[in-house]
Amino acid sequence: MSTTEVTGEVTTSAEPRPPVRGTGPGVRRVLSTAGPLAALLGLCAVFAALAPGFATASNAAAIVEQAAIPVVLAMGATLVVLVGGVDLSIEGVMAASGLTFVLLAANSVNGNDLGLLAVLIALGVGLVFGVVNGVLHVVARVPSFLVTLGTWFVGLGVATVLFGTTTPQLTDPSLGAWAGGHWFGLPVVVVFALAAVAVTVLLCKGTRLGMHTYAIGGDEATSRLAGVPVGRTKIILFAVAGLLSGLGGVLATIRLGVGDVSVGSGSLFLTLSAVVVGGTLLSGGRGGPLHSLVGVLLLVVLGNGLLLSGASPYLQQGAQGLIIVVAVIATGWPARSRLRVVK
Amino acid sequence: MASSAVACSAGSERVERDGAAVDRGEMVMVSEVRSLTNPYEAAWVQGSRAYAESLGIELKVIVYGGDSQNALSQLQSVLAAGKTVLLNINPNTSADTPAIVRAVQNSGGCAVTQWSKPADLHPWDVGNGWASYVSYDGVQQGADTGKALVDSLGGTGGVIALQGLLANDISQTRFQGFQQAMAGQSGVTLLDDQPADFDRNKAYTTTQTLLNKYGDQVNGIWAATDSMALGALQAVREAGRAGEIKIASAADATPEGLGAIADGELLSTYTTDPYFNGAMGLAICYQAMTGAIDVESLPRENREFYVDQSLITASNVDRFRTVPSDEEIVRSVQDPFSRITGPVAR
Repeated sequence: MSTTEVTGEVTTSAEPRPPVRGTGPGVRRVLSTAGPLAALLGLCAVFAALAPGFATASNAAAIVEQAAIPVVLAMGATLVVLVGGVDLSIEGVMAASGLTFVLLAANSVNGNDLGLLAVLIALGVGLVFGVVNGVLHVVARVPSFLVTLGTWFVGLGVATVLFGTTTPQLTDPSLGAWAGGHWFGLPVVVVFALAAVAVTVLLCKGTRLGMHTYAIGGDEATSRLAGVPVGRTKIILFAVAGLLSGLGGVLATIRLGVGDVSVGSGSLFLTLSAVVVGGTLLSGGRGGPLHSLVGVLLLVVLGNGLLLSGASPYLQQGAQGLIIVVAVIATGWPARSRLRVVK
Repeated sequence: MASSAVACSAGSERVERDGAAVDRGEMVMVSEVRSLTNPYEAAWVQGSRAYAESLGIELKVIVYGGDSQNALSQLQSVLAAGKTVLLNINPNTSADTPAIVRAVQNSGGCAVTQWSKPADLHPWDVGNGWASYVSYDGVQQGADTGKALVDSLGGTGGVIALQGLLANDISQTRFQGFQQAMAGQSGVTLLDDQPADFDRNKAYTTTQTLLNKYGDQVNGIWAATDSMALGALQAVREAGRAGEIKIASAADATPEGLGAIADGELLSTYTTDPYFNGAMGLAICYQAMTGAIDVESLPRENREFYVDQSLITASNVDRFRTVPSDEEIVRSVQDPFSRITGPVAR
């Protein structure tokens, strides 16, 4: 309990217990929480008016499905960003897990056929990468930026070795059926994405670990003084992020139907942009999984809407970059006076 | 004038050494590619290896991961080791070519480059150290596969085109060829063309979105490579329209793409025979180094040329699904110039 008292005094760690000081901070909180959501709804309204085919059930289904894997990845990335760290290893871990999975499930290259066990082992590979990230960061005191940059390429290297010389194709019929299949009336990937969101929200809002996460992001030094197990918390968060990257790699591999070292290409940019656009501060301490969910949807809707409205491909890339910069300015604006240094 | 003087002196040095005929033990063959996880490049390396082994010459495979600086620095370490380098390379970008060929020429080695080079730079401008530049006619690939797509639709319908990276030469020429095929008829309309960056995932999501936009108007999809065509196929399958929407790929002949053609899910692809390409560049250099050919006196058509390539459809796919044996690869490059179809027209 002492932790909450300490974080209550740290103005940047407003999420679990917002400091009530007049109306200012309350308004700020509403803005940073509702801003991205309002932007998402506004964007939907604009595209519904401009782009024929946008406001249809089948397009909504396509958007949700396209958002599913980035959402899984963004949940892990959010946890790491909440403590002020960053996980750049997403694409490498996806590749290593994806190839581990395809080579252990029934495939065209070797005689393995472990079925669901292949999925679990591949998730284990992601977990190991995450633990290594966390331990190197916490114990060896290397900035997370550098550690995860390194493991990104280690992951790609592992995947390249596993790949060998020919593309392994997934031949397991039951796992392959997940690609276009449905559970509870929802596409399988969407079920996984919803589960990832639910677990992450619970972790953030309902557990001591979540409380510690926000405290560390708010002010790591003070949290340490207050008895928060900073190192252990960070290692757990990196481990969860690795696990979720592994899950993303397995799901993407199932969807492609083949093992591909570039299975995660582009995922890092989309995921980190979504976390930031959703309103989670890169400096940590504020934001959360639901913010990132909105962030992913916003970017996917933007890409989808621009494509449907017939915008030039050159314009599409520029527009996506522009919205990220605008979103960072918008989310950071209320807090900019409190930033001591911008790095 | 100055550069041609340099080229001449480099040439005369090489001729001198030819008199002494470079010993096989003094040679090292280098095959440099972007990645080994791309089936085309993996097969290319296999071709290089088969050829080097047939001569008992050491082969170094450099995989530079699409990083131009990495490509050059690794090559320079091999050059610094002192052996005579015979290089066959698929450079990352056109801009990389001049530095690579000059580095090899200055060390007394021989280079053959494939796929990309600056349009205004030619092997004969640089010297005998750059034996040949080899390329593949992307316009023909696009036109032939575009025509196959139009024919399969019976001349009427709507199609979507997926390009590679917008700034990529090969992607542009293939799309240009595709547009030529479309211009030759009036019944098929191009509904949309989008870049999918050679990326399977991006092709998948783009196709999914475009199928929502155009619905039943879509009868065909043209993609610049197999990986994008297969991404599109995944989206078409999920929309429950596999077999109904015709999908033509314009390049790569990956094992998976060939399998999809045999299964009737893909209409076409194109092969530039990676096994041949991987061995042919080394064969030209080996013949130049041993004096079997004199680079100086080669006609220009042998120094900058297009190589024969084939359209693959269901009717001939079986022929391309078997991997050639090492002996077949080596035999195919006995005359490395046997598959020239013409000069690289600019």
